Amino acid sequence: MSTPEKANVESVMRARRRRRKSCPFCSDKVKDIDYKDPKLLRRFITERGKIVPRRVSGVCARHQRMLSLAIKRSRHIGFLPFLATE
Amino acid sequence: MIRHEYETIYVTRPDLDEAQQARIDDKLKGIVENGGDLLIFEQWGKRKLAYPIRHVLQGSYQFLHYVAPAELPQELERNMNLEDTLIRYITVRLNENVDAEVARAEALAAVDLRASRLGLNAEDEDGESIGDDDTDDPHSEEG
Ligand SMILES: [Zn+2]
Repeated sequence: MSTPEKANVESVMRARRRRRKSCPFCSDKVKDIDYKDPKLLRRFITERGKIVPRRVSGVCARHQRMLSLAIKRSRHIGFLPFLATE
Repeated sequence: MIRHEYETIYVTRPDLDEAQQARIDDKLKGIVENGGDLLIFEQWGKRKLAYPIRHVLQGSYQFLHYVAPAELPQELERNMNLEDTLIRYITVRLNENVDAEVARAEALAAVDLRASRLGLNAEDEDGESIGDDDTDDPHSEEG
């Protein structure tokens, strides 16, 4: 028998545990990630220029591989920084 | 003969005059036209580099989209390596064993999306691309 309050706490905890973000590229059915799209790619690098780990971004393994290649190409051609300069 | 679909971006120093830039563009376009089919050539103009390359902070960006045999990108790269005012390039194979006319139709269809991703046609909000009167803006980083 759970009080309303306890039930509420449980549902919050369940919600948090379930908060396994779904891959944003999967939900958009993305087939390739364009290295010529710096605005998009910037969302997946930190302020310091590092690639955001997928446990943080929720990106799936397959799309993370594509993303990481796109970011590397984009850096090479000068669209994205390698590391933030201060 | 099997031919593939490629794109090459090359970046030249921002201080080249028109004739110097045209010489490089004509030479590289000529190589592609000789050995393959040039689908698209674009000049994106001067853009701020995300980090200095050979001591320059801006680059002049050019884009080639073409269908050619696998040896052609190597020939292109050999020639790009000879240009000391050409500071960066990248070649990506987009599709294998393609028909040039199919690729051409798709290439034309992709022009607008590319331009919008690169912020080419616009006094576009955030300064990926830059104009002639570059006010030294503190590199605004949002989001
Ligand atoms: Zn995914």
